[in-house]
Amino acid sequence: MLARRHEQDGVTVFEIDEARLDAAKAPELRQTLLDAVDAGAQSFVLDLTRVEFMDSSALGALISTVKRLGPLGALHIAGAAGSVEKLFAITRMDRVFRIFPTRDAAIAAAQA
Amino acid sequence: MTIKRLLIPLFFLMGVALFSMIALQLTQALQVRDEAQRQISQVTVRAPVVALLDALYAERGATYLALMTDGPIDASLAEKTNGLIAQARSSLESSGLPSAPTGISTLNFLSHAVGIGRAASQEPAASTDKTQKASIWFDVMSLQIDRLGALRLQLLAGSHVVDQELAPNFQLRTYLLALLDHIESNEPLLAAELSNRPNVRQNILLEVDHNRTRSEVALELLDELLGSLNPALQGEVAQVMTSVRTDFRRREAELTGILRATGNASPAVISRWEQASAKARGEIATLQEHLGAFVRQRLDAHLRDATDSLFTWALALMLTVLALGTVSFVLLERVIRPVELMRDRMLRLAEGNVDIDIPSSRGLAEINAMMDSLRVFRINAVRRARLQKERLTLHARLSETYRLMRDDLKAAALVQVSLLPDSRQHNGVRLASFFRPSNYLAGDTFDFIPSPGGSVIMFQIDVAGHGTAAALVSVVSHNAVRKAIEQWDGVSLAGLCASINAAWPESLTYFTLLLVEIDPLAARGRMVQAGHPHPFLLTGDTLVRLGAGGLPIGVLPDADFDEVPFDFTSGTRFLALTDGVMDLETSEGEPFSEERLIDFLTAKRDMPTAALLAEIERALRDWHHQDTFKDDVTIVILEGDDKVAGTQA
Repeated sequence: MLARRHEQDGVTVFEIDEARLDAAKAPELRQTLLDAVDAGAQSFVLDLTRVEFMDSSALGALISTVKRLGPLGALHIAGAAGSVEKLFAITRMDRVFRIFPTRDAAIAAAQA
Repeated sequence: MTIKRLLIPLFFLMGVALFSMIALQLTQALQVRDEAQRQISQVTVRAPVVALLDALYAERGATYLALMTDGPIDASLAEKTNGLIAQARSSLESSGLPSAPTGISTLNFLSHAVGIGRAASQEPAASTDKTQKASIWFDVMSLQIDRLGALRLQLLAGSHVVDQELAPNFQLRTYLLALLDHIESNEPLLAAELSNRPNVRQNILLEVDHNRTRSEVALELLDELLGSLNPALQGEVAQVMTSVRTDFRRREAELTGILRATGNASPAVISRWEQASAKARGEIATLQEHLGAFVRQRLDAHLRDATDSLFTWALALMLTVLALGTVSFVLLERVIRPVELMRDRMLRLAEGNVDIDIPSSRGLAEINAMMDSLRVFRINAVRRARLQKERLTLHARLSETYRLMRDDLKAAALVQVSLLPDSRQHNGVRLASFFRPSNYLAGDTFDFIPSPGGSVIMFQIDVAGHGTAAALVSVVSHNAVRKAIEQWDGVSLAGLCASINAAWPESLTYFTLLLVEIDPLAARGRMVQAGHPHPFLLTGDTLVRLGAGGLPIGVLPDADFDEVPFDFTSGTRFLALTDGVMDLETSEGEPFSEERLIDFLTAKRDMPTAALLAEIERALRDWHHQDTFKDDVTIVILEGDDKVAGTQA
């Protein structure tokens, strides 16, 4: 199981249990998130606290999710740090999805 | 150790033990039979010897009496004796007894001695010599009688007791002969003296007493022997002993006593003695006949038993051979051969040979069950072999497919590499690069395009992911970017990037792009960073990381980009790279990282460009400890030479 899904304060949270999100894990991540979108989720939180490395394939999965969400949906990223944070910075992902330092902050934003 | 090698010695030992036991029993039965036959032969031979003994007694007595009384000698007695000698000799010759030659010699000598005695007894002689001649005759004949008695004992020599009950009977015969000898000796002696009354010779009476004393010893021995005799014989023996002891001996003692005292005896006394003598002799003869019949009967019974035993053990031997043969055959056919066959088939199965025959067995249930199991093994082995064959076929197809794909990839890689620029230069700007796809095809690509205005444009692309799909997208993006550059008005590099982004199909994956324009005449450069890693500018001792990031191409269609200007003078090196460099990991998962790259470039900034690229490659290999990289790695260096305007600060 790549991502544990649970509800917290009325918000769907996907908590990634892997330290690496690379090309090997990207298809599963993509499918998990797209399935959630197809199931009706419009706004949810992706907790990357445990993720230490993310490559362009995994980033592609997040971008595909945002595209599937459309303009009315929102993907909230929480806990990105280290190389993941640098990746988001260099690719300006703050313009694609909302990035928060903590899960609670992301959930609060999702509730708003 | 196989079952066969275990069972065969065991059966051999068992067979040897059984055969030895039966052979021993057979040998013993054979010995008993031979001994019984031998003793029957002895009895058969001794019969004429005993008859000859009686004849000698008769001739000795009759002739002695005739000599003493000047009576005629009965020639028929001599003829009878001679006939019995011939009969005894013939019987000995045909007996095959070991003592037969000695016996024949004895008989020959006896015949000769008796002949001499007869001849001497028939010579005319004076009346005074008749007594001497009769005595000589008597002594000669007595000697022959003793010799014949000795021969009788000789015939018994070498015999083994086949029946303990018969052992006393042989002693009985000896003692009876002693009694008979007493009667047969004293009867003619006393008869002769009675005819010579009143001149009875005292020495003869002493001899008669002496003979009676000898019979007393025989009677005492018979007393001791009586209890051990067969009950059927005991009564008859006791009767003989009574007749001898109480009748004959008493009458004889009575007669000799009267003769010794008076030199004469009354007819009544003589008659009682004669009657007692005849009675005792008759009873002894009858007992001897009965004894002979009894012994013969017992020996015949032993012979029959021994013969029966012989046949029984011979039958046992045949049955044993038959049983051993049957058991061996059954074990061989029903156990050993099926087990060996199963062992052979299992070994062949183990060697992978499934083309084996397993014959149907109608043997033991356990063997049948094992045979059935073996068939299951074979079926499983056949199934495994078929699956293995299918697997090998599939593997061969996969290998072939993989080979074709690899060939295709190699061909495609050649095509992809052909799209990349060689070491080019334009207006003092030289391009050098290091390009290493992770697996033949790369999602990375770059190009070097001189513009009509004198500047040179370099772009570097990294498509998300790697491999064939990324490579195809990289080719498409390469063409799209190159076409956009060719159509660009040369005003805004950020605008160029935005137009590329806007035109990028949403269905295709995104890619990062670094657009760089170097104007060597103005010693200036500008760049747009679209999600691409930061490039570096090496100027003299200075290493500058350029850019502040930017959205990748294909994420947001209406995205805008920032244009970053920089100085590019002679000796300046602009270094662009893909994330494969920073993300390259050790076996423990530690990435090379941008920080380590900056330190490396700072340390190696004085190295010439070609050497610097080689050193970067070596550093990456040392870091990764593998020949292949997990992600595409591309490094492009643009270096300004003397033709570039301006100088380093």
